[in-house]
Amino acid sequence: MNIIEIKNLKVHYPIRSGFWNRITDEVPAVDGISFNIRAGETYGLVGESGSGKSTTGKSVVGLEKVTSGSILYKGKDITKKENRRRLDYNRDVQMIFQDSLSSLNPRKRIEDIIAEPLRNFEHLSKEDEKLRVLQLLDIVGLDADALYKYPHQFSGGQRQRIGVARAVATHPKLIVADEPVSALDLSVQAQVLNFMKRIQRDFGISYLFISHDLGVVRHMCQNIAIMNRGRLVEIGTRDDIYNHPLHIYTKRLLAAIPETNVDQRAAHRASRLAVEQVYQDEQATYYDHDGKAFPLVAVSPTHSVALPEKLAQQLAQAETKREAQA
Amino acid sequence: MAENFNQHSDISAADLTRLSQEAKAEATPSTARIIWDEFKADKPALVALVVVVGFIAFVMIASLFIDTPKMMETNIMNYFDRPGTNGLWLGADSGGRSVAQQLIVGSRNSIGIAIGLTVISSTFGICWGLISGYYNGYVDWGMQRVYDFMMMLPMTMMIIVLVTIIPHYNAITLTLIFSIFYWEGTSRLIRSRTLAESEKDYVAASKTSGTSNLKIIFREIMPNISSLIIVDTTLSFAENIGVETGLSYLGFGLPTQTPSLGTMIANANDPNNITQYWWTWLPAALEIIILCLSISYIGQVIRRAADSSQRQGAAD
Ligand SMILES: Nc1ncnc2c1ncn2[C@@H]1O[C@H](COP(=O)(O)OP(=O)(O)OP(=O)(O)O)[C@@H](O)[C@H]1O
Ligand SMILES: [Mg+2]
Repeated sequence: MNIIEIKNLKVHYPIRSGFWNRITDEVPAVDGISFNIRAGETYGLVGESGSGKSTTGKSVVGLEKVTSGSILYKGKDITKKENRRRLDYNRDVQMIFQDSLSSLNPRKRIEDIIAEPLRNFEHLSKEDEKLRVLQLLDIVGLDADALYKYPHQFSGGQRQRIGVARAVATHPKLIVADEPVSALDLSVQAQVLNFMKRIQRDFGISYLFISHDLGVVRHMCQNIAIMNRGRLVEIGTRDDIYNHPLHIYTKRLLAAIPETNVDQRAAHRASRLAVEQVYQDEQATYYDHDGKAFPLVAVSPTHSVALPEKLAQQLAQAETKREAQA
Repeated sequence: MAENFNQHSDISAADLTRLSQEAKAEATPSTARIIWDEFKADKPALVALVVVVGFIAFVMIASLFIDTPKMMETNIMNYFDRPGTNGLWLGADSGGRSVAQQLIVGSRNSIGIAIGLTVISSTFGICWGLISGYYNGYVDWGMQRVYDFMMMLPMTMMIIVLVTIIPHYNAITLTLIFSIFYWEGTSRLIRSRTLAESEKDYVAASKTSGTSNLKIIFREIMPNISSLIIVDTTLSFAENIGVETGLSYLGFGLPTQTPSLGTMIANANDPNNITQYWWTWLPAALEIIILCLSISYIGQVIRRAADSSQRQGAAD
């Protein structure tokens, strides 16, 4: 069952100028994307910086004014403010922000930060509220003495935990996690990812997991969408994306995953350069005249690529043949 | 739903008091405490604070015991008495009126107007700036055009014209007239900081937490620019003492039978007074200099307290 259905979503930022503040130009940050998130799964949204991932995530939680398209939740289009209000939408859909420091109000104590959604959506008694905050801190692995401290007194990893605690406070059904670990070092990344998984298991939450790093996404997501310049270039299961990538942009992202095995560094570097070369040479085939990706076509029930239909089928066949030989 | 959390955390209601007491012991000091520590660490600032607060309290209380109409009566016997003669500490002016008493009542009037003006214009300017900066869109556009219009008006001339047109005015109407023209600087300053602050993710987080716009503006954003607000308010207080004083000096402030620091300094318009009868204007001039310097010094200390990286006091 789908918890969220995104249909042909477009977010164009207006550029205003002049005395009358008229719209003179637009930045198509998100340019017609569609995908569905199933209940209980972690859906990965991957792309390089500036590809429109955060904008998509913010649209899903209702922070962004959508230009056109729809986002369906419980059959209602939540791009309309009225529907969001009626559904108490943000009680069910919450967000973990990219920058943990900026997402916590520096002038508020941790207790007030975590209790904010509770105060607006659940109206608990003072005792119950405090108890709930303490439990949330416990769940994300922080001590009770964090209660009356301020955000700057915590490390980056601890702050991200506070962000997670706030996001799960109202027991939401979907959490948009916008690069929740990209500001953290590797060991802390693993910790935070692990307890995000634990929370997901315990509470049955779905994640829209945004990242620029296919290495991280591999551990978290069952389904993945690759985003490039505001459009999706490839959608598929983890296996489709990692083992049978068809779009050159996906291949390039995969080649960019750092190789940890020292012995194979040289070989890895060579293959990365080869992929880069192919990317430069074949851009004309994979993008239209304006440098935009084509509409998605399905090459298997789970796997779609942004290519002209014939080319996509050819590529898929070539891929299966290569598989068979190997 | 609550059961769900109970299930996944060992903490129960029984631990509540113990844990929150533990947390209290670890709590960080409040802002007022930090500012006070900063004053204690900077002795000259403490002196400035005592001078300003003490002086304001003194003139407010002392002026209650002075009968102003009687004080303003001409007493030819005391014509330009030197300080110390006839029981007049600071001497008398051309009308034989006590300079010391005029100084007290005049300070009360001038400081009272400055406080009133600061409260009204800063409150208005802060609200205007916060709202304009937060709703950047048509609201902001409209509010900025009003701002531009107000900035276009020649302020001092408008005040002089208004004062001349209005037949009977007193300290309160004067304060209101000034207030119309003195909120712009504050509003622009607050708006630019609010624009930057509204972009931050904690505002977005408050929105997804279901907090209303007004609450976000005044409870989330405003505390984050509080240091700017305090510093700006302190400095405009120092400046506002000068506003009334300057206009009264020019003869467009308070009516002549009401003494103020400005009317007293206006004594210096007479070259005789400047050289011979210095006591008629010098005390008021010195008072303004000392007050304004002290206030801006206090403003700096508060700014330092608000900006944790510059603190001198043993905070945290
Ligand atoms: N408020 C805005 N006004 C105008 N353009 C914007 C605005 N916010 C984002 N953009 C533009 O939209 C595009 C997509 O931005 P977005 O933040 O969604 O990228 P992202 O994929 O999250 O990148 P990153 O990995 O760096 O976070 C960028 O080109 C950016 O310049
Ligand atoms: Mg982003």
